[in-house]
Amino acid sequence: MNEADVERLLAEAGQRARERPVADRPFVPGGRASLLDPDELSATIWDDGDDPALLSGPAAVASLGARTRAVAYTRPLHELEANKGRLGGDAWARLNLIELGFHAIDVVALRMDFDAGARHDDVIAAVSALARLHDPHLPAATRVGERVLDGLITGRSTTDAEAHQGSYGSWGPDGYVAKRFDYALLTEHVDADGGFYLRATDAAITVLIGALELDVESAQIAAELRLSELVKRGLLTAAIEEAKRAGYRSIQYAEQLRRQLADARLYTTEPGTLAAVDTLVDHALEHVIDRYRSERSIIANVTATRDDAEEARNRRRANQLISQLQDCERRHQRLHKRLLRARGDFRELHAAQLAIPPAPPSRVDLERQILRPVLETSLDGADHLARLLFRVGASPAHPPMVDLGQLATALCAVPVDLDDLGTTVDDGQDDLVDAPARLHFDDDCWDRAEGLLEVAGAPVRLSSLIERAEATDDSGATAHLVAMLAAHAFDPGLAERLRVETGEDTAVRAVVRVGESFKTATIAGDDLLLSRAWLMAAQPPEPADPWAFDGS
Amino acid sequence: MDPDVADAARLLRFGWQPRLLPGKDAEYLRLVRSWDSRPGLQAAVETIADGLGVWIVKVDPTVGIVCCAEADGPFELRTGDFLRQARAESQWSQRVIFAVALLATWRLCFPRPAHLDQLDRVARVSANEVMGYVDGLCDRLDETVDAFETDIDPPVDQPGLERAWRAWQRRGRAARTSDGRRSSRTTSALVARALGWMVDQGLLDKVGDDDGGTYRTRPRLRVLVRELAGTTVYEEVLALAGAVEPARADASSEDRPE
Repeated sequence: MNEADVERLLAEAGQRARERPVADRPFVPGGRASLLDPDELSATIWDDGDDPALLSGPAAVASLGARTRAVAYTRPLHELEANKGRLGGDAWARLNLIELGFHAIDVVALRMDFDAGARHDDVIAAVSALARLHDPHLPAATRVGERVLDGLITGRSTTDAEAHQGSYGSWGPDGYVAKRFDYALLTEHVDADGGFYLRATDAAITVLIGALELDVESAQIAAELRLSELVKRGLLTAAIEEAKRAGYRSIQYAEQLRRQLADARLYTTEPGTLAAVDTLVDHALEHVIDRYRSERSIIANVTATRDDAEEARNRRRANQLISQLQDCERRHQRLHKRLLRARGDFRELHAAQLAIPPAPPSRVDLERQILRPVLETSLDGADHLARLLFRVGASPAHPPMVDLGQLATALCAVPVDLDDLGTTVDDGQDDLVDAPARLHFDDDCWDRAEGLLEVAGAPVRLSSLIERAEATDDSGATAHLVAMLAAHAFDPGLAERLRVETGEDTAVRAVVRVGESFKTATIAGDDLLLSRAWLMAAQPPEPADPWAFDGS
Repeated sequence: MDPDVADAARLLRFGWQPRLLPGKDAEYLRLVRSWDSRPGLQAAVETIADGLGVWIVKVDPTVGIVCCAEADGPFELRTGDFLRQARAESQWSQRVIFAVALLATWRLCFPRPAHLDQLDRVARVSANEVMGYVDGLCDRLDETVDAFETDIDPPVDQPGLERAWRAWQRRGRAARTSDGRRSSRTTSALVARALGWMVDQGLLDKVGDDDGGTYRTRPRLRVLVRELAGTTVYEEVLALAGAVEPARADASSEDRPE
């Protein structure tokens, strides 16, 4: 058979395949219309396939959800960047907030220890320092740090302390269902002295190294192999990058270990826990010692490379690599010490718990039989129980009125003026406050602003008022308030005033655009002409006299 | 006038003073001491309480009378009356977190069922312990879900199907307000509210500010938990467990009692 015959046979086979209706073809990769053949790529094969797996293969569809989640973790960073105009205006145009966000997570992750983290101010300082490098003329760089941190800390961007959320699809018997999931990048904690600190979550570290969920231990070993290979081949720049990833892996590993040990402490007396902790600690010790050894050998190799290096640049890189590896090594040393202590701590706790006699069978186990089922149930159901608990956990509430004495006191009490918007707020919760709204304008500020606007009997330009306001108050608040009052004068609510203040002439501020724009130290925009206008109360029309002679 | 009825009304009046112990009031002490030997008094208290919409949980010689309001009665204290921000129907996650904090405190004060029968037990609990304990439980639930690869995220349009522990995790632990104080919507603030509320209800005493606030149990808490946990609360939990598919289909059956 020559080449021409082969081509002819293939062409015939292709023709037959195309003639067969799509639906008749069995759903196996070989019999399916090939996605690689451009002739087969018609809309019909997408429409005919009601099984989503037909579109790009079953495994790919199942992984859509996983991939969506992996991408979602970076959303807070993208949102920071997308909103930078709103957050900082033109002054932030040269900043790259995604980089700054990465840097913030970086700083937090590197400061993390077994039970400590990074201080807010520390992170803000680090981010603002980098921001100043992005743009040397940046005003108020600390504010950049604060906003970046707010965007990354869970729940700071919304009014409620709720986590960042994403949605993904899952496939089940009912077809496609959109599901919601929550995640956090940086979390806030309080230490023993009441100070705040930050920790980076697993998700955040995943974002940093750009890897999907992997087994951390295997990833650590693989990273070391790559690292030693890179060092052997003298590729130091790549090795530095790899060492950095290895560092994040060890942070992630310590975090996982910390969680596992903390969990085990809760269940000291459950059968098997002691053995499980032993295995966990043994395994972790072995792993940590291995890492430590291979780090040492890589450091030795790099040191040799550095000493042989001719070029100053290579020596500098080698030094950088060594310092990174030493940081990793220190982390592992500390983890090792902590692990050696963990077993003893746990055994002590276990012995203390075992000294307590067993329970009579009639009592419920509060955790196993109540708390855990409640945590596992849906919010709907748990809400029922919450209401019940609240009722039975409290003594009966005081009725509004029980005796004549109270009634008399209540009737004679000076009435409290309640705000239209709600009842008075509880006092005595000084340590628990909602995040306060920023109060821009105090009373002095209002007095100054009203004073300036009061003189505006004759029409006056907003720009001159603003300049006067800035001269009297350098914080800029008065100028801001004057500008806002002027803007408000565009629509002073005439209809409402006429309705309420009937029968009297009232003054309102009126404003028109001049058609020019102005710019002062704090305010810029269209210039306005402000004046006072009088509203004459409308005279009610004379009632018509039905007997009057109509001349016409 | 029947002396039982007069005494019953007098005794019931102490039900509104949860922090008062019988030892501090001669009349109160006389009434609770005679409780066991006076079936007439018992019947009268039950009848009056029933009419008022109050449920007598227990009358104990050292703790005094422990009672609570019946649902929809005139004396019922609603969550919204106390947690103003949780009044809105949609703020169920705050109410649930409050309840979880209460239950976690119960568990930490009485880690083993036998502790509920130890009359002299005085336990200490701190806000940070409660936080750490619930966080640990949530992590464990997460791991179970991961291990069984169960999909439990709620559909986007049905937030009520979110699992309670996820609601706890989602809410921040602590948040620093712009003036460096603690925000009131975080889990740690809700835990602090719950503990403070238990102090008002005569269940705990605050002993210090260490570790986020340290508290000591009062005997009333033991009586309350012992009487309620195995009965009313447990029935409600069973109803929940029946209504909702558990996160782990096979592992949870062994957890649930027969």
